Amino acid sequence: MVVRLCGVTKKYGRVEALRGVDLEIPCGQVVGLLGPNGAGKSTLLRILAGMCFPSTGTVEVLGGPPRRHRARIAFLPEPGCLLPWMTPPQVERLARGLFPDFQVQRFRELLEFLEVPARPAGTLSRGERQRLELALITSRNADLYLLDEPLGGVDLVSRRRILQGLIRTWRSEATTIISTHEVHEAEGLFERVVFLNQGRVVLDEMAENLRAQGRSVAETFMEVFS
Amino acid sequence: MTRSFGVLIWLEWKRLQTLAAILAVMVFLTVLIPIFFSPDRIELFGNLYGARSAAMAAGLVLTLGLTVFSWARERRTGLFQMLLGSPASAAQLVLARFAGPAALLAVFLVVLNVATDAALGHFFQAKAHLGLSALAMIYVSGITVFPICAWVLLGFIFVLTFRSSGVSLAAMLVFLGGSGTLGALIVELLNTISGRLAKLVIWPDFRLQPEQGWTCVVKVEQVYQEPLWVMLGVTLGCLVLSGVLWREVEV
Repeated sequence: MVVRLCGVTKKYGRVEALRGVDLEIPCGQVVGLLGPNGAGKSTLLRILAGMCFPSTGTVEVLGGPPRRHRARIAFLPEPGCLLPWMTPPQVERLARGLFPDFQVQRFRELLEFLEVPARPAGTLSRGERQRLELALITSRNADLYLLDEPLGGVDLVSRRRILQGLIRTWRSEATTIISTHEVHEAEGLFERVVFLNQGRVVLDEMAENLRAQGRSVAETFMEVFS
Repeated sequence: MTRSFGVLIWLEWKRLQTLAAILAVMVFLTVLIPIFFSPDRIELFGNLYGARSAAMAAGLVLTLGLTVFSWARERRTGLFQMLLGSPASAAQLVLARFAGPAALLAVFLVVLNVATDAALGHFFQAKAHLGLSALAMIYVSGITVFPICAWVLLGFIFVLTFRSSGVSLAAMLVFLGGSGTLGALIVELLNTISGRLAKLVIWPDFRLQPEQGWTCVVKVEQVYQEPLWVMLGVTLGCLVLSGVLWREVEV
């Protein structure tokens, strides 16, 4: 198992962001982490990335505590990971220095494919910045990719580009967990979907099974949360 | 390992670039303004010394204030999460964060002191001892700038480790209270042990002698070396603690 969560809760003061989450994800799956705002998706991803620790319960990522294996985890946080002055070559410099598994050639190809302008991040549109960040994260040869809202707040063209970029960089041996609100557009990516609501897993199903029942992920999402 | 430390230092430099430019302008003005606005040489002497002391204090406050502000702002960005999740060790991350402001302040003090001493030497026809001026400021950096920077960094990381539990204010009060007690103990220790080792002859002191028609002499003073070693030890202790606490930081 790449990810193993057992009875995980996370409290911020009195607010309970996660409540007894149990989850196991094997190697190579592409998992959609879906749910409304405040469901606990970002908290769960942050725990898996080792950004924060659970209040109770145990977390194992790649066979140990997440921080021990942080070199093998590529995490795209929701606020974005670039400073306004960073241009694509400077992003490359940063990633080359920080991550030994960063693939320069793949990064340059992705920049071209995703049509990222060679300007500082502060002057890019939100969609362009998201594409640059996606190129940065997916250019790593990580074992686990955690993408927090990679499609959030970007236009349709950028969304399509990002999804194409994800497909292009997909590696069968790597596990990917994507949290998103854009269920309809991203559902073709998912092998498995985990629905979170108020910090609890309310549905954990293979996307194939849903389709076999004649339902899309988006329809199931609407059924569960409406 | 060297490459990731190099990148962390580069990030620090990018963060401090604007501040470095401001400090360079401060050095320039600290020397020029007294020269242009002092009516006579006696006034110039006092004004240069006064401006230098003011610039030192302002540079320290400005650097530390802006550094903490930029750390706090960065904490809210994804870059902080990326650094926390990178394979770079806690020691590298902490050392880079300390090295940026500490090196900038040390260079500022050395350049400021050398520039004002050169001006004093020039206007008062005294031998300026510029090498000693630089050395004196390295000593000052060792006993004040380095431990203060390390202490501020430790305080920031200490508060950060408790932030997600919602007790930032309590953590800050505990840190300040603990630091106050520790500070008193260090002063007591320095009072007890200073003077046991040989003094360092590094302090060039410009003095005007009114009895000889306001001629200027430069007297090289001796300073205790124990405070330097104790404060460097305090700096190291703060950095080690910061590294240990960094592993507990949550975002």
